[in-house]
Amino acid sequence: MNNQPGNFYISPAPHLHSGRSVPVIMFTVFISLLPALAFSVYQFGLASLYVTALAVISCLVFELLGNKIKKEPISITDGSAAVTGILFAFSLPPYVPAYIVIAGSFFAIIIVKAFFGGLGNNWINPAAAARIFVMFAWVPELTGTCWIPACTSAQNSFWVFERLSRFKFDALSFATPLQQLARLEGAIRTGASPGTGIYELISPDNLKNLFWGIGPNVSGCIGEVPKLALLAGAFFLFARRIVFPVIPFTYIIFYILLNTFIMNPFWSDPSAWLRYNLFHLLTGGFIAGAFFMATDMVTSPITPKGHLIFAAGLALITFIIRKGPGYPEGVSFAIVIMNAFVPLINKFSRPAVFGTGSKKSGEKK
Amino acid sequence: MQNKGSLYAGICPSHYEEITMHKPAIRAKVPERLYIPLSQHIGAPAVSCVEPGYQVKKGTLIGKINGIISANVHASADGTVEKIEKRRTGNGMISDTVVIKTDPAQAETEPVLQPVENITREQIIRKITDAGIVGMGGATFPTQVKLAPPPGKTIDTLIINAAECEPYLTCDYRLMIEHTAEIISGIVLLKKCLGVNRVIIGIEADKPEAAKLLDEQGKIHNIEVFIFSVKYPQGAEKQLIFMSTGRQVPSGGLPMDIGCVVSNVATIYAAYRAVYFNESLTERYITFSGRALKNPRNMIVKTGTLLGDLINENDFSDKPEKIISGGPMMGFSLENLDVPVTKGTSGFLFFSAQDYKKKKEYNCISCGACAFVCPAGLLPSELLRLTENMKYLKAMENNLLDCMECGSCSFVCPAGKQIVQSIKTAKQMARNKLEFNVYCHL
Ligand code: SF4
Ligand code: SF4
Repeated sequence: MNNQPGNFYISPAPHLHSGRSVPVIMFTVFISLLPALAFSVYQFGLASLYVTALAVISCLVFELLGNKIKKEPISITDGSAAVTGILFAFSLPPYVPAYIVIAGSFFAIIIVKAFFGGLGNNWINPAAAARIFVMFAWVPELTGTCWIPACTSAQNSFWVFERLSRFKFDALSFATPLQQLARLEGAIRTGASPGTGIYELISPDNLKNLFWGIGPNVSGCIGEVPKLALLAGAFFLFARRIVFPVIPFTYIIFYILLNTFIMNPFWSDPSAWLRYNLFHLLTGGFIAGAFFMATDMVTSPITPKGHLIFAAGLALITFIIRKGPGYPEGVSFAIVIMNAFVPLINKFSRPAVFGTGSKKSGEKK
Repeated sequence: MQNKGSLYAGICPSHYEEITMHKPAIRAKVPERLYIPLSQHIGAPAVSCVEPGYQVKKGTLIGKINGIISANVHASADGTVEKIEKRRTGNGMISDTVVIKTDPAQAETEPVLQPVENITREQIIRKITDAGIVGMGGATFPTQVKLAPPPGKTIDTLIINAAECEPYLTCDYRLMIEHTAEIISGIVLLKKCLGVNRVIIGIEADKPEAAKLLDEQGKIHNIEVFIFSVKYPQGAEKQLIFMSTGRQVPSGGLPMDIGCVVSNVATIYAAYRAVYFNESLTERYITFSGRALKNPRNMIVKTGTLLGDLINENDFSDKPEKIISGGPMMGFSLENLDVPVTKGTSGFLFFSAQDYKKKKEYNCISCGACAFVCPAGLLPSELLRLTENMKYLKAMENNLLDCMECGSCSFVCPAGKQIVQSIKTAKQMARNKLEFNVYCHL
């Protein structure tokens, strides 16, 4: 036997590894979003696919560009840029001009991620940040009521994706359901009679439409319409233990609690109350945000206890924004704001160190 | 027998114990030369009491205990001392090593059974000290120190560590199967020595035969057998105590602070040999396993035998790429086969290229997996960050020293970070009171 040193590979303990690596995680998340994409293509036509593909590709290109500029090893293979791309695309309407997609991807990858040191060092969720960025930079193109002009005026332009649709464009000319609700609720608050509008909005039929993503009153973004597919993807992630269910469920539960105890227009009608809450959960980016953006590992706290605090904060901020008069959405804002609190939350949600006297330490954290 | 669930944290690696579990251990031949390190335990190295040219017999004292936390070292075969030199041991330490050229004909002496009916506590401790017995689960803490708690500490529970939670290793299992009665007698001895009423054997659920044997034979002595569902690191001392008694060793404290003594089965067996037969600790069960090995097995090996004398090219079915002394989670990888077996060596693993991948490193993605599995309740990712920034004292404030280096965090880390290695470095640096942080920024 040759006994010369250096014969064998030396590495520090442990010598086994679970085999789960960053690319594996990112790939799994990517896969879990594909059913929603498929459903969206079914709903909106190929435009969804175009937008998503463009977002993913531009994110990858910007990631590469960032690597080149910073002269660091190529990091597109870790999969995080692709996930950012698909999540960002999911928060856009399906017939958005291409330059918006590209600009958003640039913001997400270069400004939010690369400038802060790449994967793991960004402290806000790139997809959520990009969504907010484009939302404010291109208000008319991206706000519900103005969709039609934006599309028709540039119908033949290369920069606007044609909608290969099964529905007519003007089916989407309504205000988004959340905007309608906000208007009606505002009316209640100012003392006007709510009329039947609000009951119509939260009627079981309408809720069913929202859940399945079909019907005249359903509008929204690529990834926000197919709720069932999103949930399926989320449960896939729970099953693979990529994501802990603490954040989304705490978020939802806290949100419902707030909705119940503060400014609840349906005190006396439990069934309407239930439908009212479901309506809130099924509209806007709630499901996509709660299950996919808020649970992003990099920008959420480390421990389950931290997750709890984080999700409670999300619920509170979403609630405040949605109830306020200005803007009926709020999920991505809540996520970005709470992202900023993560270091603080981490500080206050340390697990109990084994053997430091606390009775509970050492039990399941 | 009671089922006790599993540890609150930790990991479930694949176990690979089937490979060697059911094969009886074989006795290794006496090699031509023995290299017996004088430091095979935690604490002060033993002081050599032989010179080159001395004739030694099996069991002759060659290194004398030096201070309280130290242990005797004995020759493990008949022969002549050739020289005393510095050599590297399996865990990378340099130690004075007694080189013995063994006699071709070894004297065959039958061990003589000693009278033990009326043995006193002091006599038991004396014999265990003389025999140089140390914790054989890997920590190699001198056993006599555990058996004589300082005044003021009362011990009420003896916990026998039969968990053997490291993957691949089955040496304790083979010992339990092959020497159940002796282990039970050893436990009874220690129980008498400590004056405790309660004895718990903690064993993992993947060793049902051993659990059954221990339970059958231990019942009359009131020994309780607790079975834990398989999880790593259940065999860690503090975790085993918590699982068995619900008590937590205070941070920075010792098991005796909460009235417990933990001992590994192999140690118990060695103690039994010492007291019943006046035999010193000169051999032990060792697992040889891993994909690159043609014939994975357990062997009974004399301390001081070089790994190179135990294994040769014919034993490999595949080119070994990585060799590990100890278990795969806490063991050390070896540069070469030039490493002697010591009292704390539990196994040698031979990995082929298939078994390990050079991990690609990414930035920490704050996934929290490390915090989730850490049995000490630490935030390994934070310790890692502090270490990378050389803020060792800050890491100390964050309970750096409570890390028991179990490796669970590195095992799960998707970013492929060598968290434990950083923590070990940080501990070294912090111990040296080197506030790098300060003079780097002056
Ligand atoms: S930090 Fe230490 S105790 Fe915690 S999992 Fe890592 S090695 Fe084990
Ligand atoms: S397991 Fe690795 S990547 Fe995840 S938080 Fe810990 S150090 Fe970071």
